[in-house]
Amino acid sequence: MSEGERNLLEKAKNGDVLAFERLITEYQKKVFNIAFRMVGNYDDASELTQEVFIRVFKSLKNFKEQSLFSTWIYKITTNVCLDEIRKRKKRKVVYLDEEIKLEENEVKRQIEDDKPTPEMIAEKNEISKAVNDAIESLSEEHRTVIVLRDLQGFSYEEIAKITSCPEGTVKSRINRARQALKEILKCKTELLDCEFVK
Amino acid sequence: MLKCSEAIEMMSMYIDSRLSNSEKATFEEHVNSCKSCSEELNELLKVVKLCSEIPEVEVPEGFKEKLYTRLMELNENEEGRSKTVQFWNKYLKIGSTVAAALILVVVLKGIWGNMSLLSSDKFTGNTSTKFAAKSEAKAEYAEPAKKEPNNFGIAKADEPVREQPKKEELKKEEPGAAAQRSVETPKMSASQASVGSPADNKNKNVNSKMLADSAQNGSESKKEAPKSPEIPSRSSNSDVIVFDKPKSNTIVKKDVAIAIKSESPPVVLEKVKTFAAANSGEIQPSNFNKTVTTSSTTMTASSTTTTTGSAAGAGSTLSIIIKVPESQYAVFTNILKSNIGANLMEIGSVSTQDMTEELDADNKKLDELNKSIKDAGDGKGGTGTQDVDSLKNELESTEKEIQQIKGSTDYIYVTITISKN
Repeated sequence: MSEGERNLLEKAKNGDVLAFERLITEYQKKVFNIAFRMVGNYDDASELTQEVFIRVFKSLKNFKEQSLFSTWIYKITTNVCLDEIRKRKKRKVVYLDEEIKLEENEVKRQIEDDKPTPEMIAEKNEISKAVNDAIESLSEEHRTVIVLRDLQGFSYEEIAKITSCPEGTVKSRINRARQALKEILKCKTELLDCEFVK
Repeated sequence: MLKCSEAIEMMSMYIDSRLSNSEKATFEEHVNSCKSCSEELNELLKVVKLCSEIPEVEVPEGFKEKLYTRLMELNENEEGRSKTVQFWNKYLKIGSTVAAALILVVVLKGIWGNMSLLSSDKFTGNTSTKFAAKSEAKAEYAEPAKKEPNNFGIAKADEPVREQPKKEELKKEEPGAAAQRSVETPKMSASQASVGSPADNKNKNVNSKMLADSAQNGSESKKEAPKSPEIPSRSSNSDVIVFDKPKSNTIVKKDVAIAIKSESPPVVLEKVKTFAAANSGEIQPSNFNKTVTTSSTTMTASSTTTTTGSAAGAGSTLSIIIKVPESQYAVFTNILKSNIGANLMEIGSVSTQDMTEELDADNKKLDELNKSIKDAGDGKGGTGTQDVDSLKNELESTEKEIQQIKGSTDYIYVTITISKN
């Protein structure tokens, strides 16, 4: 942790909300994306991200710097998301307008960021949607490692810390998750037959 | 050469460049010569690539502002709460000291009371079992629990009531733990200050109630104040003696005799054994009869029971002693009645024996034996190793006896005698 960060952390521990917000700015996007890909719903992800940072703020005193601050935050993120997923399993609520909203937002973002052609957007959307759906139908554990490894790019060691699992477990989980994902995509689409790998 | 299953296990590591050079070489060698593995690898690579192309989304607008508002609200609540906490902390120190002192007084009183009890008359024939005491405590719990949803203030004031039966049981068993608990929870401490033995309770109740009242700042607590004195009177109505005699120091042994008449005793014996096993009953070995001193003569007479159940002497009368958990006793007897026939059975009443004296005697014996062994070892009394050995044997058997006595609480010893019709 840098000097500046440590300073902000101390202030935040004493209840300085502004200092806290400055401290967590760099983690916001990642946390939100993890939440988004874990629960598949934009609004829920927003709410969950809020909750993650509120939890972080409340438990700042418990942060003993035995791990990285970022690892600690992502750990809380994963836990919050898993709690939500489990809660949902019990409720089994289906959001009917979710898909449309998802696409709109995605298109918006993409236009801002990449400025690709409409055809490319449409195609990319299709694929993303298919992959997204496939990821969402994975088990909790598989979904977690795919999001952390293949979507967010965390290393095996980081994932082991975030999920509090031994590295060996992480290794085999990643392998099985990818195989599971492959099977789902194989059944549903012809994506894997297309020329994507150059 | 690598097997396909092994190669598949290595695929993700290969994709993420986590294989050592030699591992990588072995892997590639296999994949290059194995069509299915090579296909599998390609498919996994595609999956990974697709995932990596999923775009990152931006945090929604207004996110930071919303978070700011919520965190500020959180801070305000914390400040409000901290004032209450400071307020409570003041009384926590007073309250917990008073509570600890009271508990100490009660415990000492209890121990002293128990000692004088042993020296005077025995504590016998009391049908108040732990079970009854617990159900008493449960009734106490039910009342305050009902009130909780209505008013938080009342719920707080109920804590003196709720805590008392729990405390009474606890203090007899774990005085240390109870004292510890009073220090732990700040909220409870002021109300716990009202705990004490009923005899002394009234005076102390007034003092601690004043504390609780000022701390809680409510007329609700005054409304509840009359409640606590009810507890002593309630206990005196039932035959559950919860407060006067400390229970955990008394070891009791419960016995009952069941006599069965049957055409074929061995068959019935087998049935009994089966039912016993089904109801967590344990068949007792024959030498267990030693500590039984009830008036029923059939019990001491049929002391030839072995674990196989076949009796040698007494002709065609078989007997067996089964240790049944108290909770299962009713079930066990009902099953016997319905299978064997209630008309062929004679069930005696459960008698309770206070084993405390025996236990104390055994404990004393243990101390003496230990001392003798030590002396023999130091070369003081004894005439050699032989004495030490026999002393040690006696020690072992005394310890076994103690264990047996201690293990007899919460069980009923059912002696079943089956005689020919």
